[in-house]
Amino acid sequence: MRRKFSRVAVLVLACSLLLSTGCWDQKDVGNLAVLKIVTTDLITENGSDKWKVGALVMNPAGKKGGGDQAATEKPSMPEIPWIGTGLTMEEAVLDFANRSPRFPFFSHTNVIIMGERAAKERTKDIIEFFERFREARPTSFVMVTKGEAYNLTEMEPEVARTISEETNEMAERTVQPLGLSVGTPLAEFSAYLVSLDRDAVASRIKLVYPPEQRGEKRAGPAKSVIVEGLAVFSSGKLAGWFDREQTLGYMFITEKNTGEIRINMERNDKPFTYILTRSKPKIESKLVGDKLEVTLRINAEGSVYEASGLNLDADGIKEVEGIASQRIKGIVQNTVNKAQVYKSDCLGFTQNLHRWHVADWKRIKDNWRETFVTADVHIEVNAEVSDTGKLGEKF
Amino acid sequence: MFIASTAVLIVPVITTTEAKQSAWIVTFTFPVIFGYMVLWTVYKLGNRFPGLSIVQYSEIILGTFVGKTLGVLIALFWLFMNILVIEEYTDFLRITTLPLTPTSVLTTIIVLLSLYGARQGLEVIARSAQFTLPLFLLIFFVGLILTIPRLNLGWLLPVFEDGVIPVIRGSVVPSTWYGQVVVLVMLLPLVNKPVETKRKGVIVFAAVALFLTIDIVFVIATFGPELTSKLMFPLWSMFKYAGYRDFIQRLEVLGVFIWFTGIIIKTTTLDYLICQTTAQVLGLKDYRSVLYVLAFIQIPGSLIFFTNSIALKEFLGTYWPPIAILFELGIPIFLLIIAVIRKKRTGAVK
Repeated sequence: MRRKFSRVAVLVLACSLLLSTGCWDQKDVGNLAVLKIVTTDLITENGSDKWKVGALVMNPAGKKGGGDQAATEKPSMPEIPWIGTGLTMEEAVLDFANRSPRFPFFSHTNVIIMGERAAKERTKDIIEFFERFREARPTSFVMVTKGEAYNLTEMEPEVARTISEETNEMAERTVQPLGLSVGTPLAEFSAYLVSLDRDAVASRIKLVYPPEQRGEKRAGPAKSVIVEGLAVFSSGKLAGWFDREQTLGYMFITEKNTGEIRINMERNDKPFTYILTRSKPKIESKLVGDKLEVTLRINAEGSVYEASGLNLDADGIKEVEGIASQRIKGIVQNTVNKAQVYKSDCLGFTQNLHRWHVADWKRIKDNWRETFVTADVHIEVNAEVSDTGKLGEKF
Repeated sequence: MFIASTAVLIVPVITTTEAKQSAWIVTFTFPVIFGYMVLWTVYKLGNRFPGLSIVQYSEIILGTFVGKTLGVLIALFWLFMNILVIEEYTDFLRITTLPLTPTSVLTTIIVLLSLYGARQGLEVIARSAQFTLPLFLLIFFVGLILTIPRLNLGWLLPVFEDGVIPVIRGSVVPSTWYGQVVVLVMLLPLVNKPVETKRKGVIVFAAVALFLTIDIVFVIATFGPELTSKLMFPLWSMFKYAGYRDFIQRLEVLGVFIWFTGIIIKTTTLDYLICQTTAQVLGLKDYRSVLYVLAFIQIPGSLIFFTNSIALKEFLGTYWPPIAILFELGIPIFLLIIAVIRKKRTGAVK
């Protein structure tokens, strides 16, 4: 019996192994063009709408980028841009893939960038395509840019080895602790996109032109990118943008923040910076009559280092705490107003109502966005200064 | 194992479509009751006719002709279930990892492997299940643990949004999975200690219910109810999503690997059942002779019935449950009632 068992076990394992190698689907790494960043745009060409898909493709080591290799020791560009157009996204991919002897491969796509027009008109189509697509990964970050996204294929990394790594790391690690934006992975973005009680947001990516010079030459790349701000969606379409401060408000309302979020404040016309280390929101939505009433409590904790002459004794800290609370309240209020203008409940007020007051939710189910627009939002902020650094007294 | 191997893949979709965020309640309530009813009936029948399988005692209960007809029907039910299982899996492979590989090849591999296993007899099947179960659990839980940072438990609210009705509606399909415990009508005579079966069965239900509940809770908390009900294989997508930073990623292939072994055990068991049933109906001495015929039915069968995954999903969600419930609960209960009325039994009264 033992022998029989081991024979079956070996056979089972052998056959699984056979399948794991891929049979007809075997793909050699050398045969793949790995698309690290994909941009999608909707353009009008000769009067008809077309897709313009751009990609940054991993450039295998050893192949030099054309141009001035002799002049400088500069390494070749590790990622090369490709752009194609077509009536469908797939055709557009083929339009650049046919120039290459390698198959386009999406399993390593870190970032999916949508152009402004594409996001306004066809977000759901784009996201559905990537959700259906076998190779696409739910961890890819979705981003939106103002104007055309394919322009971004020109960008170059400043610190990381490749631009895709740089954007990916920004979205995953730095934007949130710095309070610039939030990273929105594909899975999370699509969950809110199809959600019945909440609207989606996506991080905004934009081109910057680093000015640093070293003598005559530029010290860094000519074009780089930053991830800052948010694109706000309403019923699955791009409705508008949150600038940096509104994004901060969004983060105060929806996330538990930890990090070093710097917020400028003023006391007697003198600016100082409050470094927020921790904040936690609490939303309570209820329906009064037909009006949505939201109570928003935010507890924040932070420190002040750059005091600009403030006297940080016990009374001074009390005062600073008051100023910080007022300032954060203002930021949050601004975000709420803007979201109501965009008719986009990306702040989760209706979601909260849905979760805790089902009967009320059913009453406004059909026109919940209108209800959100007229919502009364009461904001209470309690900001604390927990430390003032290594100095006990001011200079 | 038998139940969970396919259930973890597909059940979340079907239940969330009906019950939305309350879907996780489904798995440990009504289906468990249903499964227990099946188990109880099967156990009672087994007690009345110790050492006999359903084919044999249905002949005693209903007479030779009707009994044999029933036997044929049961064999067909298992054949069809097996074809569905094979189809589910080839579909899964085609969508997720092997789109270019001809389905016929995948089907042939699974069928031949499972027939080989069935040829070796029940003990071999049971041992291989024992062997793969820890692997299955290990990979499953590694996947879950790595998903924890992505969870958003708020998605599970509100509970019972539309009352209890959708939860019951969502229970129908998982019930048929739990009801697969009906395989015991053939296996009971072969089990060493039939008396323990009931207790063990309850433990199995508890384990499977826990398993599926965790599965659904995790999937919904990751993707939200709306997206989950749209995804084809939520658990697979969740495994794709799982990971820690850059260096632990892409667990889904491990998942595919381990599900494949699970599926083989399931089809092997079913093959074995079909052969036993047929052999007993026809009065054959050795069930193995049926195996060869089976290969010629199953391979084309699974290739012809469903040509795309949407059709399969629809079939599993709408048409399959009534058939399955009939065979899993209907027929055993019917037999038990007739047996009680006609006072047929071969075993001693306990």
